[in-house]
Amino acid sequence: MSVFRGMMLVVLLPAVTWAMSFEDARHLLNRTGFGATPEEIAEFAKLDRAAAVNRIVASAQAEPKTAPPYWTDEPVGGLFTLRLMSLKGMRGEDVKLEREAIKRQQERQQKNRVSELKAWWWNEMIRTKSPVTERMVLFWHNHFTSEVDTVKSPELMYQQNALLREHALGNFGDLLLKATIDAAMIVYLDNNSNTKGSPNENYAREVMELFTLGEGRGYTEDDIKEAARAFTGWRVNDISKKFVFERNKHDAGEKTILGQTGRFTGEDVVRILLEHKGTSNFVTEKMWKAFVCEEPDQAEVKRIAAKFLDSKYEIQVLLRELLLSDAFWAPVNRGNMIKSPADLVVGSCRMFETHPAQSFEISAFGKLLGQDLFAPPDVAGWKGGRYWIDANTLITRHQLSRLVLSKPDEQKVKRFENNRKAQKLAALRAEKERKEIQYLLDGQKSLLDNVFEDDAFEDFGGGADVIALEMAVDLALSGELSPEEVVRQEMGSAEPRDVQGWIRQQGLDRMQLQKILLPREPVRSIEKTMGATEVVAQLLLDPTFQLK
Amino acid sequence: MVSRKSFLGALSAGPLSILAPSLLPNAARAAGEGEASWDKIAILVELKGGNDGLNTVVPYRDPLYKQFRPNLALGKDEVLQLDENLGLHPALEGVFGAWKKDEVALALGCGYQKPNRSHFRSIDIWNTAANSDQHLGEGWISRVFATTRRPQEFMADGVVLGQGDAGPMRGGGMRSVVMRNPHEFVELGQDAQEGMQAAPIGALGHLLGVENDLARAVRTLKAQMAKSPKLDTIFPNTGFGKQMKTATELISSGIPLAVIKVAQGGYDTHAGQGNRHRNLLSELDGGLSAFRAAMQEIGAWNRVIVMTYSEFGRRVKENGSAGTDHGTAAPHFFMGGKVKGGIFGEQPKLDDLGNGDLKYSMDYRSLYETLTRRWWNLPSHFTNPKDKDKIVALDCIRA
Repeated sequence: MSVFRGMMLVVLLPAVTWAMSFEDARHLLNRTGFGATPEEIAEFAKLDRAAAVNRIVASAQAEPKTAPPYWTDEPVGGLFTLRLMSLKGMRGEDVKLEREAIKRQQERQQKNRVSELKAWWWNEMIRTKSPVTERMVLFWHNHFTSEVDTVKSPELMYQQNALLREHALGNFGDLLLKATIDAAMIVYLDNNSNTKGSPNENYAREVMELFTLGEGRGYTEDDIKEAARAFTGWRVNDISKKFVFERNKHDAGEKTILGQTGRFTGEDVVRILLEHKGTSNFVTEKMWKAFVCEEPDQAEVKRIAAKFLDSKYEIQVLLRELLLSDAFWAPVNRGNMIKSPADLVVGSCRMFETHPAQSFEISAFGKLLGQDLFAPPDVAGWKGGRYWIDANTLITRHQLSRLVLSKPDEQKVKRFENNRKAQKLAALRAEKERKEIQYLLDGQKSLLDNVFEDDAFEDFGGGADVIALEMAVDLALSGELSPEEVVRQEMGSAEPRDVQGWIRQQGLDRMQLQKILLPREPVRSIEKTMGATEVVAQLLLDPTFQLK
Repeated sequence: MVSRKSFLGALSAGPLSILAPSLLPNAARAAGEGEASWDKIAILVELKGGNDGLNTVVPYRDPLYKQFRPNLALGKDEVLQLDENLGLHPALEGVFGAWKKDEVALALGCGYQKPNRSHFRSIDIWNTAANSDQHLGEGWISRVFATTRRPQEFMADGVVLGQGDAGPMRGGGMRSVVMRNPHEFVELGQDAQEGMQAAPIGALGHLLGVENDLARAVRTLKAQMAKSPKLDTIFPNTGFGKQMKTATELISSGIPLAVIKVAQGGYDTHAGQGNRHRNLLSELDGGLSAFRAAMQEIGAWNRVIVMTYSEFGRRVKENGSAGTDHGTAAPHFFMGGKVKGGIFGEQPKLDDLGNGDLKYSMDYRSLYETLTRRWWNLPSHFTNPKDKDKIVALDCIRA
């Protein structure tokens, strides 16, 4: 009896209650977050595995840490839509020209906003207090994909991003339903043109193939056709850009989907897909590939998928099971995954605590390396893994390492700060404009047309006088702070510095540097004669730096 | 400086004598039946923005042409007449010179069913050889090359110069490198290291493999570029001219590869097309003419072929701003020492338009099939069950 008990303890203890090694903590933090700093690793190394995993899972945040671009809480399309509406029904050459001019302005604005949105998310990943949240948002972005080039609305793309964050570690069933009626998704997968009598199968196909069951697993072409009918009439309103159920476009007839028959709507399809065992299996497998290794252990996937299903699709349960699986900690699965561009970009910025201007420059590498946020290559998302690496991206990864090692250019820092100031101004100006319009709309709705004849709208973004004038207004608007102060507060006070400054600050020897920067032994050995800077340079250029 | 005469003298042993023999195992071998011709290089010229085909190969005799284009139409006396119906834009003087030597094959009316008029989507279709409603991730050359083995000695399968992505060489097992110029590439690639033979499997194995390839490309380039002969040919100092000069450097220094992609932007001529289009074609012509002269100078003109392509042609009727909007079918051409000159296919009819656009008369994948089968001597790759009769390998390459 006591012998048996002793054996049980021997079996159980190592996995659960011992404090982790430094390497364990690093592995866990870099798989669930990005570029863990020496302090974070040391802090986690005090915990046992279960406590560490619980702390990470519990850190989920439904809100971003940094403020999203100012226009994200405007009504979608905003001013331009209103202005176009005010021309409705009018004829003549002037009106035509006016309409074209508005559309051109709108296009230009959209382009700027797309860049701002991308920069914002990169920055959020760098600055967040909950890296696991952003990793999951990225995971869901690559699962419930939408491309901004197709959706043609940075505003809707932001809303989708916010949705993914809200449910990042929430319930997969809720997320699936919300993603199905997400405006960007409806536009992206053509559900707007899915109507009674002329169904569009795009969403029905992808929801089975990519979001729940997996390609060719347990559904037929007929299931897709029938599900498409159930999704008819689930549309986005042209003006409000919000989800609407249009009953007259919905096919209310009887459908048979995955063996169930009834007068199903889209909600029923989601329910039926969640009842199907294949869904928990497929999602578990995909999460395994994101967190554990590229080749899933099918028996383990089945075991964990069952728990996921039992929990009624709680993502926290799934993640915790994966992170506490033996496979996650197995030596063979350390440093055997290729870092995504996000791992590399965000990880470098977090690890080296780069100045925002430099982080901004580094995050531009995300696109060069093949991961342009909000613009995955297609509905299947980024292929990832070894697809990240070819001769061109490898050269670019080396350049990124060189950039990380260098001190940021003073001029670039200056330009960046000016740019931030300008953005802040634009935000405040827009707020003022919105208040004015709201005032007019509330006051005298019939005066709508007059509002849009006001030439003042054309002058925005104009000369220095306008800016100076605006700044005074901004001061009043924002209370006590000037735009400069607002920007300074948002950016922190970090001085630009190079990697030498970081090394000095850390005061680490070469073995410690290696243990922090690499997930496994380097390919190229480090010479005893090398100085700390040289060591870091060599580690960042070692092939194993590309691994996690 | 080596004079043209003495340089040509040095070449008398044959066009391949300047190439390092060890680098070109197949080069010395004649391409026999069923054997790929890996000593041949294709230069793909992307005309970005949608080149106006109707003002490139002009149906100058057609009265409808002038009706549709009161401001933009080119007259009989302006065009470089190819035959009694068609003429080249006057800016294409050098190309016309090659035409007269039977070195230019024109493929008329290239397009596809259900044409897409978005720049982005349509070039994606062209890059991947897709049908209009088909989304294929990999480039057409990547797919063709995936079916065959390229020589180990290749520095890379393809090189992408100028602005733009790998396009037709995207994805797959294709080894393509993007570079502004080889000198910069060598500079940037210096961190890659070769000789990590005992590569483990898995992710690290893949990384080491790619790094090996990269380091080899850098090493090959570095060594070969030093051997690049000084040429008499002078290239125009334009964006496109510089790209063609770089392409020439790669070829003349004997760097083994199969494809070089170059690109010229600006063809989206919605307004004031007349002068803009003339300047664009003039820049194109200048670069291509210098390239032809340089290839002739080093005796490599028979080893190379130029092929143009663009996402679409432009609308038949000019718009209100003396420009043209996005259209559909357009002509493209092959040019090279081995090209059998002539006009292939049929000029789309101006009295039989679809929605104001030309109806394509040749599936654009015929261009690809021609390169695949007739140029590289690879098995047929492009068939379209829906539109089978329209994909053909043009008989425009001499044996």
